Amino acid sequence: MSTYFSLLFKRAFSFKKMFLVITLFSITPMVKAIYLFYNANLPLYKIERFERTLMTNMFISIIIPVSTAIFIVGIIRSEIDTGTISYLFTVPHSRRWLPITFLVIALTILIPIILFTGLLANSGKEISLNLQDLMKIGTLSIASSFAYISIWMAISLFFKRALMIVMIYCFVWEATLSKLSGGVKKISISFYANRIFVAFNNASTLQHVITLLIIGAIAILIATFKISRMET
Amino acid sequence: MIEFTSVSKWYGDIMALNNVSFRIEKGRITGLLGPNGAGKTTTLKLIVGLLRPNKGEVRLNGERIWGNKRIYKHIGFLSENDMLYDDLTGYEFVRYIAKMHDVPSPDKATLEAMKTVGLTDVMSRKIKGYSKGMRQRLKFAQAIVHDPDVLILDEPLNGMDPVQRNATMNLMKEMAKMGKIILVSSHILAEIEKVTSSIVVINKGKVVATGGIKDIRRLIRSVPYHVHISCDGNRELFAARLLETKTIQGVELSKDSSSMVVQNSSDEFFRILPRVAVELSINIEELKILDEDIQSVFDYLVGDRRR
Repeated sequence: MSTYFSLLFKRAFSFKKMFLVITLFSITPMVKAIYLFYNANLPLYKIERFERTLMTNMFISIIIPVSTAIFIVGIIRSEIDTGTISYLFTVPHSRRWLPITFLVIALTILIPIILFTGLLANSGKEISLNLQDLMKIGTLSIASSFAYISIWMAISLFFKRALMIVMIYCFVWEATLSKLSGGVKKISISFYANRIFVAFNNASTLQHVITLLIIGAIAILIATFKISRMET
Repeated sequence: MIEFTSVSKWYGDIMALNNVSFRIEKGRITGLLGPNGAGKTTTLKLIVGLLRPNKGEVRLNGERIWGNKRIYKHIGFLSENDMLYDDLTGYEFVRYIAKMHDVPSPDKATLEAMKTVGLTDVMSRKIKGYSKGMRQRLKFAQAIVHDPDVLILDEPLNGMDPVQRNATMNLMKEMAKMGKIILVSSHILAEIEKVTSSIVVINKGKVVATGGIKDIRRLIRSVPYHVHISCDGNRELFAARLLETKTIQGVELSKDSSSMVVQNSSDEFFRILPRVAVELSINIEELKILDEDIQSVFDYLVGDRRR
């Protein structure tokens, strides 16, 4: 894995891509800052209610899926579309390490950003750090980004217009259908991610985390299968 | 040795290679020739393990290539596509490739490869600033950095100036002398002819000929040789006498009044020719087979020319 890591890690740090991702993640804390600026005297429970709406409807349902998609789809599709992936396919190492390498790179870069902006957006009236919030946002960012990145990776390997497909999925499925009542919402990542955020430390938290990890693992397996049979 | 055994490769309805079998021996340069869309790049990609045959097997030294990661260590590939990591410097790129091939001293090997292709003075520059020729040489450097036994070169001379072309061709010859297998695909037939006389000709997904250029030409019996003869004396009489021997099928007298082109398809002609010349007291100044070169052989095989 280390063979591919250094090259792909360097490639992942494109200024344009990082600027876009960081800007997207900054939207939620910025909206909250604007809200606080105009409503400084509101009681804490109202601010917390606003934060919860912001986190569930914007940060978890839109920002995380869209930003992770832009990041990972961008890396993988540029390798495939430019043909540079053939350099990675003609070295004496198993191609099966490639999806894991992509995943580790994306998680290494994105989790600190998700954690930082998530904590900023969820810090009440003052910016403070408490262990409970750190655990909650940390668990949420690791589990949800693992699931999203793995799914986006699998889609990127199968479809040429992966970013368009992923965006349609993000907005139609994750952001809309997952809000519907009944069992439909349970087949979206954001449902489980929202449950982790809303009811952290609840008995079901571990179950939701495991569900997301299983979804991610299945997607990784599909991506690994695809890449090992891929012809360029 | 590279061995294709009944290999077929198709993309949907398109048959790229159809039941192809041939061998490429080590220690020599082999030219892979064919018109556009003949299946050259597919053949090369099957050898480097980027494509999997739908039918048959491609083997290197007896080992299957597709999915066999151990074998990639022995193969260097220069792709026709202009695909490079533009944000890296030339040195970084080649070093990454060396590292991915587990080269023991990647820095030393990278420097060596850059020196070989003559890019040391620009190796700290970002690849996006490289000219077409430099990019081509950089691709060559990454193909040789791990000292492979097999070098697969798809249009390696594209974009290079004449000096670079000569240097690259000399490099190929040196590597072949070292016992490596070198397979070169190029549409510049004259340049292929400069580095090798051994060719594989592909047309419409089939191998139409393999071997030495002259040997292949000899086998194309349906097309007579065109032999240019410069001589003094009565060439009309000479031509008539040659026609009488029935060893030639036709003769074309040129305007300069001292030469002619005869068409023959038998070796008997070359035995009879000096006898007839002596008989008629004609001095033959020059005798040259006009269509024994790579271009003629290629044209006859792919059907672009029928004389």
